[in-house]
Amino acid sequence: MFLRDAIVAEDVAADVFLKTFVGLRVQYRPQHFKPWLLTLAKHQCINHVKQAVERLRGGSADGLDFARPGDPTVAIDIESVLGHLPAPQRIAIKLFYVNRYSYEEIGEIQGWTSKEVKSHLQNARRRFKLLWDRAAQGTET
Amino acid sequence: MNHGELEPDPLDAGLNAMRARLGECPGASALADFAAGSLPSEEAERIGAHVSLCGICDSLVERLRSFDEPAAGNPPGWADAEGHLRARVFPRPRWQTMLLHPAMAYGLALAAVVVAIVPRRHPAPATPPAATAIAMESVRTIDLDLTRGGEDPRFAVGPGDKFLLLSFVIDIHPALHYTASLDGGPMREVVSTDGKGNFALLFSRDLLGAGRHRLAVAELDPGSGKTERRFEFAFQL
Repeated sequence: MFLRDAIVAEDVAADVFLKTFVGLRVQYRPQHFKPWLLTLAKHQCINHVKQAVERLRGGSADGLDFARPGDPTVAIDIESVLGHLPAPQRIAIKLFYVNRYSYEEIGEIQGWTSKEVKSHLQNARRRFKLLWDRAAQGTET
Repeated sequence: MNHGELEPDPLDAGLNAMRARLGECPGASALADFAAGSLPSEEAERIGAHVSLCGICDSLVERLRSFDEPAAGNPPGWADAEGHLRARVFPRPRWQTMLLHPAMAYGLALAAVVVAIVPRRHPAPATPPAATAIAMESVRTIDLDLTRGGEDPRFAVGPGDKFLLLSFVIDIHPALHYTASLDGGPMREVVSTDGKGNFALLFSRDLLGAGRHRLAVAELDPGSGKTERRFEFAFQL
């Protein structure tokens, strides 16, 4: 579910097993085995996704071009509206507009088909515009 | 740049401000603690500010929220699994080790045969034989650094060895990526277990039959995609 790909999940499970095997001798506490294993698995899953993202970019995601000036006030408004979108739409918008990933890259990161990426982005734009306009009207009146 | 409806001018300026504040993503531990709500408020605020901007971290937090759901309650066989792991990692007391020694197993088997035959000659109240099956999976470590002498060393593997841990050390560079392939199979990315060049790759025993094997490791430049160096480890089982 987390990794959204059975083969990748098998690889990560093998890594978790390995780390468990290696770490058990040092860190084993009988009452804390399950949470410890769960934490290990979580960290391994997060790191796997991050490494996959780095590979897409050929390095760190930092160092984007910030040549154009920004408007922090509008940024806060955007964040506030984004907070009202359902998770897949919100994530799609951020990945596309803030992190600047392509449709294809978003599909790889999220485990979505290109059709799903398009659908989430289209719905997100439509909903965002609706909420944005409503918020603007609210401030005007 | 044309991003459709979302980017008339004021929005573009807002998005630029968001990108400028994006910064570096928090580590796995901080993100997991944030999703679990176990961070101190100041730290939670800092990471929350990043998550509200970053699609990657937002996605990870969403996934982490559903991570705990299937783990509610113990899955079947959980207690056994923990017991097996503990038994394999921690040394047994001497008397237990002696009981599990092959010689002791043969002795017990012989004793069982004797016990099974003798009562026929001297009838006694029958007791059902106890069916004892000790199923112990084990991980066999293969130290591939031994293969650097030139000849392919032979490693003994027992039938109980369900997994093989191929360990080796190479001189690594943090900016480069490493992939490994076993016996000409598909290349898979591998990561040093300690970040210093020690690698430990776990394989199912089913993938490695008796005979010669070759583990090929390639060092890749992620920028150019060029292979910088290759390492080969040949061994026999």
